[in-house]
Amino acid sequence: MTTDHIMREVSDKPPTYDKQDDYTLPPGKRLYMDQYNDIYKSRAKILKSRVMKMASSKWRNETINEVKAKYVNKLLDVKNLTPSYVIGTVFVDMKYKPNILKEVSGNIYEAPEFEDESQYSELDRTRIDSYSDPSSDQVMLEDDSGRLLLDGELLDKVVLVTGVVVGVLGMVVEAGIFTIVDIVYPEPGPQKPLPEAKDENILFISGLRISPTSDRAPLEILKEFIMGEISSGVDNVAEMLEKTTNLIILGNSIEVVDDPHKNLKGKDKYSEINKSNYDSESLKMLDRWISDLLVSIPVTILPGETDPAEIEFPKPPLHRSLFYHSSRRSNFERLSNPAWLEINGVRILATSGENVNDIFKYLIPNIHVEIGDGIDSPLRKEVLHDSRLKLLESTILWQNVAPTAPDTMCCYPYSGEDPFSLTETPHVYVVGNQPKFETSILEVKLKNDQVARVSIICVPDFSETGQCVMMNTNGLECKQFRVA
Amino acid sequence: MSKKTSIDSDGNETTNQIWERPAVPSINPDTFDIEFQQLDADETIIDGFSAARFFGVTMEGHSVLCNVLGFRHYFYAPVPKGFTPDDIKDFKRYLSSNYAGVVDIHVSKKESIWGFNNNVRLPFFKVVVDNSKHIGRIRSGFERGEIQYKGLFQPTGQMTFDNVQYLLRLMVDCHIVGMGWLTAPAGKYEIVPGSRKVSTCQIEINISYKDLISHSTEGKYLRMAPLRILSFDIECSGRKGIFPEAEHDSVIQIANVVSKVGDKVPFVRNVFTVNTCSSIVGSEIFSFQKEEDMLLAWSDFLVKLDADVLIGYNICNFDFPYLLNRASTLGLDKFPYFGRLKNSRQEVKDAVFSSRAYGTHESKVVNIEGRMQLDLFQFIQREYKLRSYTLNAVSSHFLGEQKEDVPHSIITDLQNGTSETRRRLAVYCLKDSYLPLRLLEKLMCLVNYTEMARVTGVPFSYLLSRGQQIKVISQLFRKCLALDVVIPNMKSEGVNEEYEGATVISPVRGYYDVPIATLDFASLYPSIMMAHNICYTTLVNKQTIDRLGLKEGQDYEVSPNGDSFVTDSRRKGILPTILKELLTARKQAKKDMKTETDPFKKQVLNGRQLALKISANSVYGFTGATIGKLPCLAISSSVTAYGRKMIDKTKRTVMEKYSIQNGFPYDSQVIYGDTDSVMVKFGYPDMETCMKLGQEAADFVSTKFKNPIKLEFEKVYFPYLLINKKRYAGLWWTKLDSFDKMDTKGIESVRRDNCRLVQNVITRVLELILEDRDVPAAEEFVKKTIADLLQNRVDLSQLVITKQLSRQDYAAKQPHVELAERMRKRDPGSAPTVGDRVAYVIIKTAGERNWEKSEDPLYVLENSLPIDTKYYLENQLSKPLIRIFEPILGERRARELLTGSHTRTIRVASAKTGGLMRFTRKSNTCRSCKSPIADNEMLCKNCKDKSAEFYAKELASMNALELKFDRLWTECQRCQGSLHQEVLCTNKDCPIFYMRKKCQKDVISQSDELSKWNSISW
Repeated sequence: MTTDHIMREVSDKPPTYDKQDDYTLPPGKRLYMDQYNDIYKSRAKILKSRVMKMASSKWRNETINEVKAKYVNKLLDVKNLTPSYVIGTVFVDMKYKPNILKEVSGNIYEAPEFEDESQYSELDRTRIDSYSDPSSDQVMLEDDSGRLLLDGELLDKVVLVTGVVVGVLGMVVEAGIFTIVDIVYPEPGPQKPLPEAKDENILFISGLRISPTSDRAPLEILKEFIMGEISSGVDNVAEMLEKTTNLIILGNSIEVVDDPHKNLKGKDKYSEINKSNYDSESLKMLDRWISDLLVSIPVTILPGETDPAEIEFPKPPLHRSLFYHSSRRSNFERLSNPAWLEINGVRILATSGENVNDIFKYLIPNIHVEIGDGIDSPLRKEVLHDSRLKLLESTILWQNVAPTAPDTMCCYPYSGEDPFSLTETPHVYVVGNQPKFETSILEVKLKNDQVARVSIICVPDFSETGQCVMMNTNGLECKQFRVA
Repeated sequence: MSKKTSIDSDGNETTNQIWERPAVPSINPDTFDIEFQQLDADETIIDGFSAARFFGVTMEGHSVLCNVLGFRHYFYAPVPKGFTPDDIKDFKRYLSSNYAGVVDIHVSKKESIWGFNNNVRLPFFKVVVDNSKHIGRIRSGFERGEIQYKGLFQPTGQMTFDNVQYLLRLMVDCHIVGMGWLTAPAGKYEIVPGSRKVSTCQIEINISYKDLISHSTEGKYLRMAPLRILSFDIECSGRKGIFPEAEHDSVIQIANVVSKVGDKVPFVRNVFTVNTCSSIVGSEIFSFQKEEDMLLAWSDFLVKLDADVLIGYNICNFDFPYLLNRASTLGLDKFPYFGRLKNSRQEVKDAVFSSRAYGTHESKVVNIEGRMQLDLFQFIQREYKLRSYTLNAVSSHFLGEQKEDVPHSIITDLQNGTSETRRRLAVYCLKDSYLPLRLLEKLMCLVNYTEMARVTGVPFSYLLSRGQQIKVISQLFRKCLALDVVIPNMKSEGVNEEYEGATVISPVRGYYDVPIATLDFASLYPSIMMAHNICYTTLVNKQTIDRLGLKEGQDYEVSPNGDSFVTDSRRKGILPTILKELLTARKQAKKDMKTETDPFKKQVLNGRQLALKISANSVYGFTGATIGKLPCLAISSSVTAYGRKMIDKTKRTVMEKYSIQNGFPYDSQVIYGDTDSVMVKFGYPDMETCMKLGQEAADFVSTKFKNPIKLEFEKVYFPYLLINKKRYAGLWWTKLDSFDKMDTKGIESVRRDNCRLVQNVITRVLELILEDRDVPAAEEFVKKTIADLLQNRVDLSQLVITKQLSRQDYAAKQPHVELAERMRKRDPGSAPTVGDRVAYVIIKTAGERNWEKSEDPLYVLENSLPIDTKYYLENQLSKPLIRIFEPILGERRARELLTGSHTRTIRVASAKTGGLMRFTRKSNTCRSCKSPIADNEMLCKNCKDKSAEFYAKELASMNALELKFDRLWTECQRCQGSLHQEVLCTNKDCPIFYMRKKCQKDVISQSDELSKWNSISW
């Protein structure tokens, strides 16, 4: 099987590139000495001036009720009934956010009830751990000086989650409540010029979810497909595959099925057991599968939520020794999540989807909330019915790839920096483990009225959909293939 | 580019908060009735005569001071034999010449409350006196035999009658009750002109006591005036390590929240600060450069606001005394005048409050005339039994919230920072001043205490400053006044004569898996007193029985204790009459409550029925209070004797009737009984039959007793775990479909020297046993917990024991005192000071005694000191667990829970300090087999193939810690309400405080371990 695979070009990948290590955790000893307020401070420091640029150019001559709007530097200095615009960090207070204090006080910590999810519909399952209760959610804006409650119809039309830095225009009508009419985001970071790229394809895949009990056939078919061993019946596929020079696996390659009763078995029944994503059988299968492919195509792998990697964002690369065979080959690459890639001059920002999945939970009511009336905004409706494009686009608009870390996403307590804030606008923003394949081109205005185009790609979960996504590095056009 | 946008608004610019009272329209005293609710009353002397000042508020929100004039204080003394009506003039002359203050003396027929005297009224002197300064001397003149007139008085002295404070006397005689409504009718009062006013009240009037109308609190007089409740909190800048002292440490902020009774939201929220402070949404900031100016401005604010009720947390013992002492240190002569009387200076006095019901408390008292003080700390300490009474603990108990707690040492730093840091402090201070108000509403303190004052008739302030007795005395005097009965002034003898208390049927211990019916006597002691006509006035001795030729059974009844009381055909007792009125009123209040739709009135009625219940129950206690006003052991011991007899009889009757002999399939059994209840096992396994029989049995037994004694079927326990006397647990059922709650007595010990682990384990175990009825699961849970404890996996906050460091020197060495001393040696700045609560855990040390083994939890975490798990297992967990499991599993298996295989694995943190640890060097060992290996290895050669497994294990525990770390710190950020500011809170009562620290430490060492794995391959 090493001889009959298709011959491919080798794409242009610089050995080192800018931002390669942006999401690598500090080497050596991690200190955990700082509190999370440092991240928010750094974030505001990076983004506030950029929001300011956008705000002042947009609202300089703005009036509300015929009164000119003024910029107010500190939230607490906002005067009643005076049109103003302010900049701050959003905090969304939600009833169903995980609350360790309640768990501890209720003495249920570390002994969660095993919930039988089989009775739930697919919709219900996505709502199980959502945070929102639309009737009690509160959106606030915060800076060093304090908080203002935000209000206004606009809130139904834009995505706002904890941790994003924005500017809002409006005024205080009731004490402490700022009614907003317009919003601006940080000025996007500069985008590198897109070179005349080669006509080559990158194949994205996510959610292989290999487990000892999973069906191996789809994986085998996928492998044979990538290696060009089966023809799909469509004429130009073979040609496209030949031009496919990179396979990027966006997380969730392994899935460990939890056995809730495992804890009570064996002689170690009173010893400490932490949930582990490790399963040697599945890992061996994955390693085998990748090493077979490596013969034909370079493979890059990002860790995902279900992989044996750290839970904290950013996730360090999967351990090299977990891939006994693949690690021996030079065309195998393990990256952090999120990660910056550069292929044929195309700058790609990739994540395995946790960041978007967490943002999703801010928009969708929790399962304990009766839905119907709560989903009155078209935005929520759209997101609920599996279109995540708005969420991906929002992350680019916010210039922050994981704003909800650390509030609801586990994250390392960085000191004096916020790696999630973007200082460069990528050409491609690709996110794995999404419910379905979607793609769009987002245009954002940069400095000097230049327009940057960002190709947004949702890569679906392979184990659910049998799909993978192919992107051409020349023109950044995307196609999905249903393989299994 | 410009675009028009618009926002709809009501256009109401929020102006500065207004706190002055509404202005008073001009009043014509000839046509206008002044109706007000009486809040606080004082006695005073006006022109040489005692008078009363009633402070109140009208429905319109105007403050009133009503000076009630003309009422003279008096007492009674029996007229000696041989004294003729002609002697009275001369006797009066005699008294006036020897004693100052005698106004009048005349003879009237009265009857002493003490003992049955065939309803004969005897002549008594009524000695009327000008003011309360003089009354004491005249009274003791009678009592010591100093008064001698024609040799008629006994030289050894004689009893006097009706010794009661002037204010209460006036209220009794004028039928005025605490918190009641009064009317000064048009044409009967005069308005005191501004220049002669003694108070800062808006309206000040004089009226004769004869003209003042007191309304009974019914119908529209159930309402409350719009009282202004001010809740406040102060912050002091302290020196490191020393509890703030008014002589040295300044007051830097005072936060105020003011609400009107009946309003949902406060109408004033502000903070007075020294130095600048950034603005806070919805609150006003008043900044002052100098502390002096701030204090004076606050005093001024309080007077202008004219608050009716002052509340806060520990204001009586801390805030008020501190403010007053501070003001005097600074020489602010104008400060201590924030009461309603212009010329009365506020001063701090020490008071010792001692009561059998509440125990002895030392406290400070500040006179703030005209304003009610309700210290929530005192209130909660009095009314609730809690593990801890810190504001943290109380608000988490009642409001379900944790509170951010800024340590003393940081307060000064925040104050010395910028206007932003001072704002932070102000926000914290505001929160602390708002909490008492929320507690007041949640616990309905004001409503319930108001009703208590109305029912018992005492002024509101007595409820917090005085004990139970005064409430009964007030009611007794009121009743006696109508019946021409007088009450002897008994000297309290101080002998603590004990009498036999209630009976306890010895428990048949065990775990009952069948329904157990509980039969209760409703209001047992009051009904006994009513049924058997037990009273001071009906108590009859042998001589009187013989003298009057009374017949037992017909004219009098002998109690099981041997005392005799006449029947109500001879004389109706006063106590039974009072009790009957109380209980009838309670029934009425409960009935009204059902039909009442207005939620506020509903609360009032509920407060009333509670007050009536408490009052009825305290009558019995009053007669038994040996250090009391009118102790009568014949009454109290007879009552308990009747009670014991009734419980025995109930037991016999039930067991006789529900027996196999009488055709029932089972012999019923009374498994336990205490004071006023019996627990019956009928034997039927189903709930329905048990409930039916319970009701039937209660009705049947009731017929055997005198009216109004009634046995009631209240509930069924199923299952029921009877551990011992006053120790049991069970599910409480009143209806067939589901249980109401889990009821436990004497188990979840509120003892504060227990750690949280005990409470949590016991609660969960009871849930498993009773609710899930899964004993194996409960055993498993206990084993798991013990294993967790021994393997060092229990969170430290679960093991923390807290005790207050009080002023006294302890005779014996105590763990918390010793620890405080050790901490002072380490760092005087952060060591606990007197009044602080010391949190400690017990660790393993060379020493054996507990006081050597206590250690600061934070120190333990930092230095990885090993916990003395044996102590926790044997001294904390073992007893309550054995108690619960013994009746279920038997002694042997219960013991096994504490010694089984799960206790074999032990993991101890290795200390970084002390002892031999300084001489040890840690060498790298194989993570699997512990054999020594090179420093850059993780596993030895033989174990190498397990690498992935071990790596995964480390990864899993790293992930658990990372998640926990994130959750903990973000939770604290949410709790403090800010993302950008650092978390400062050191609330040791918060269940995640130590967890936070521990997790930080663990995650650091785990990341270290993991990074070693990351750098190697296998």
